Amino acid sequence: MKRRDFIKFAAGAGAGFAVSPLPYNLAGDLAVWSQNTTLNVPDGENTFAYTTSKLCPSACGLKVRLLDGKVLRALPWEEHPLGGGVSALAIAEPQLLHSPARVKTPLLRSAHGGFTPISWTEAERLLLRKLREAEGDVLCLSGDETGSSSAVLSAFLKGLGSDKMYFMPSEAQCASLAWQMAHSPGAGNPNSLYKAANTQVGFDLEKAGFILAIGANFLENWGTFIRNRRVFAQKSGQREDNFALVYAGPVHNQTASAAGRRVALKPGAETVFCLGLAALLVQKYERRLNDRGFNVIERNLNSFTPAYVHARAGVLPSTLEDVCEKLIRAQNPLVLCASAFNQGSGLGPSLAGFLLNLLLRGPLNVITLHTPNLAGVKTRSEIFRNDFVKDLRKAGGTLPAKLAVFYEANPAYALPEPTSAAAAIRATPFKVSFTPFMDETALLCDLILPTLLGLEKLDDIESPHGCGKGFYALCRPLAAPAAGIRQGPRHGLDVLLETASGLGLRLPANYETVLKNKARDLALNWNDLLNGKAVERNSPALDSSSFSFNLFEKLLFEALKTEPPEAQLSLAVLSRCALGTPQTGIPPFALKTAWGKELLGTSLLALMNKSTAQKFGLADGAEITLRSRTAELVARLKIFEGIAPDSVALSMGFGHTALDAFSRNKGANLFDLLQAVEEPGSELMVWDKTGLNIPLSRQTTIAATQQGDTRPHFEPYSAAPDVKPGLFRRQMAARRLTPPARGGIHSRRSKTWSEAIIKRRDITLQDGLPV
Amino acid sequence: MPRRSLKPCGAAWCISSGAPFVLGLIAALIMCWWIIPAVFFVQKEQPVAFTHASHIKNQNCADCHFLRADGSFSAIPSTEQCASCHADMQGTSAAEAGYIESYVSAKKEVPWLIRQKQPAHVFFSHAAHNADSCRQLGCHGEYVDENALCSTCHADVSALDTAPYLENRLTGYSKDTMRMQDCKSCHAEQTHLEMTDAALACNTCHK
Repeated sequence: MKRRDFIKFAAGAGAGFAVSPLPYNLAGDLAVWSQNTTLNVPDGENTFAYTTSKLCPSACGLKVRLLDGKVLRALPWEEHPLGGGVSALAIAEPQLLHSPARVKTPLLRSAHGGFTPISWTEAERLLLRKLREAEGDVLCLSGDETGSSSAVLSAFLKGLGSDKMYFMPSEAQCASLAWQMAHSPGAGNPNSLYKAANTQVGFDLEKAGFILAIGANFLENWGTFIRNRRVFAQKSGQREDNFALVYAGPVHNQTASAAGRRVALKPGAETVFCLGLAALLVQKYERRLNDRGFNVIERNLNSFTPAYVHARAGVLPSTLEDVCEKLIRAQNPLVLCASAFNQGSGLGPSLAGFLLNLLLRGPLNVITLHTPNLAGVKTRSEIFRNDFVKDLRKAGGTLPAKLAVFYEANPAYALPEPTSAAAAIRATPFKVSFTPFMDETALLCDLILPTLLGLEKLDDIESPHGCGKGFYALCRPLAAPAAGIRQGPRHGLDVLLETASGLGLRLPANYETVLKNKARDLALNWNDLLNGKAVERNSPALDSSSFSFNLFEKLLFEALKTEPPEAQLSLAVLSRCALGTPQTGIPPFALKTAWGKELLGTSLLALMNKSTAQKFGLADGAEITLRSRTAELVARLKIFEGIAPDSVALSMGFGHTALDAFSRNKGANLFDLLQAVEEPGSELMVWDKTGLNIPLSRQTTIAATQQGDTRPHFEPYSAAPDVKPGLFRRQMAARRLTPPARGGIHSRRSKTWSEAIIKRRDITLQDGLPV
Repeated sequence: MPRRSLKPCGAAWCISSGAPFVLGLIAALIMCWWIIPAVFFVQKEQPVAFTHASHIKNQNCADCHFLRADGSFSAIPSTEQCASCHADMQGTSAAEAGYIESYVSAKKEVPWLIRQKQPAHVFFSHAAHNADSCRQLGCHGEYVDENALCSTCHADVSALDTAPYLENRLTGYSKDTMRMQDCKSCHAEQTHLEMTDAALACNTCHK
């Protein structure tokens, strides 16, 4: 064949190829091939199961979508007594089942410092031997306030001869101790003063016609915040009886965003503000209580003049009087007074809140708690009387026992001065962690025993702090333990109960028996509970005559005589529910709720208003060092006008050094800055009044000078007068929905909205405070 | 006087000059239409010699391929469903006997080769394409035969039973798997679009 003929043949072949369907089919096949993935979307029948979230502190109801029996998704259960929405943590429960941080098998610390997987039998044998060697010098720290686990653990400890049963510090502890002390008849040894060991206060939001939240961020993290949102959305949406919400606190948080009126408080000044209102009620509106101890209260309230409140809390006298007048005019006003970050406030805010509610006849209920009938058991209220932070300080460099059991608690991350707590844990001879996740505390322990999550195990939830009526529900296994988790006992405590029988203690054989007995004692149908039924029990309204004010002078007013620490700035802590709990870390979907540039490196964003920043010559974006009495932390300044003057706000929930990739090495741990001091009177450790200084370095000054701030300047939110129901509330009313679960005050929508409101104000400043 | 070239003309020219081109064309057409496509596919056998033809005689498609209560489509029946009839022999065929022994008695699922399997990112709702939806619109008359509606998209299954299962070596899918152009034949059709709101947006089908 000649060359020319070959070219002709090739041209003919090309023409044939072009007119055949092959090139088009080939292109189509290549397109399909390029889209082939190993992704396997499961197919099957959808069913729904109802349960209560064990991980979320709000104990919200969950409607769990299952596909062929496998847990796929958590949705809100609207009809649940504490439901109406779903929190950022609860919605991530199905994903957390497969968290890379899950502990999958019992682990024993090996000689070289790492961990070696061991069998459950080996783990039980080792635990039994160590408990015998400890000879009763055992403590237990639990992070589960609402379950029956604490009762079992306390009975177990009592059987060993130990009373050292603790809860992780929380607002529930402060409120419970205040409640118990307010029911005490007289003075004496503090440990003999506690009464009302089986009850707790219930906040009947449903009956309230007006809510004054002082510090308590009740739409984001205080108490049963999902139920709070539902009630607030219903009331504000229906314009029920001129319902109104007023928020007083140091930071413009989600509650402030939804409130009709916002009052800026200095951090830690909740009690002073509350007592200032009580003084006005007594003196101006002649509200009194028929109690012999009330004259002591009255005498002490005389010193809480509006001028004094202005000096201590930063609230103008006119504002104080205005809020007081609103309280007087409102029907069923309810005051929620607590630490803005749900811990470390002592008894002061809770006692002051009780006093104000009693003066106003606020809708408070008495909730009866039920404790399983076990030998040597302690009630939840009794366990709250043990202060772990104080006992840790007293023990000096070690934990106050030879053997420590941590039950779903993470003290190495979430206690004030966590490095000291971590050092104490290290110095303790033997420590065991019952945990679903490999957290900071587990990494310091000698034995780690995996526990199951709320969707995998049978457990109970009873009356979480902040609920209005008695509440009881079970969470039950909807999912088989996640892949890779070695099959073990059905509940972590079953290991302990088996060990108990080895030690000769009289305890039930397993945790399920404890729960069944409790359901029987409560006259509840076990099968109904297993099917997800959540029970709300009748709780009587609080009778003010049951209160005693004899101790208020010692506990409340004594504490306020101490001056706040002298420092350039007060620390306002931002607690964001989307950042999870110390045990879980940041939930998988919630990391995107971090603010812009918040996750740069391992520093935090420090929020400060512009006038405060100008005092230090700082500009937006400047790198600053914040120094407390014990530690210092590097932060990047962000100008935000929703912060009280002379304060700096930092977020808690970052700075994990363990857990999964969603939480580890992101930001810094705020607890490093917090230092616990003793509250005079109650002797409880508190850490809600932290003073900070900014040692101005050369770099900071240069950064401030170079960057400058060209952003528009908004006036402080504290000056905002009453706001008519705005976009946020109208949207909720229209959609009958709760506020968005994620995003917080800095989500694009709410920030823009709040800034827009602030922008409309004409503000005059006087002495650095709005007039 | 210049010399005249002796180029062939007409049929002679075609034979002498166009033959290689024609030969190439014919060869390519044969290769591209018959030989190469056959190489792309590998013939596979179903694990059980199932025949739609015998089942469709006294049953509807939806008796085995039904919508669940939640709106999802059951697709291939499970062994448990088949066993509701085939727990015992219904006929005399060796295939049925083998099926009962290997799958029903052993309580195993049959690894069917699925002709209409779609990739994981393709979303198709049978609930939105069922006969009730068509009846409500009324375009095809009040009575829409359900079996005929199935055959609008799926090939005639009784004919398919005898056809070999051909798997594309490149894509891994059956030769009979529906392609995007099959979906577009309705979704891109203006009248149908107006009547059904069946949008042609990417995310209608691709998730």
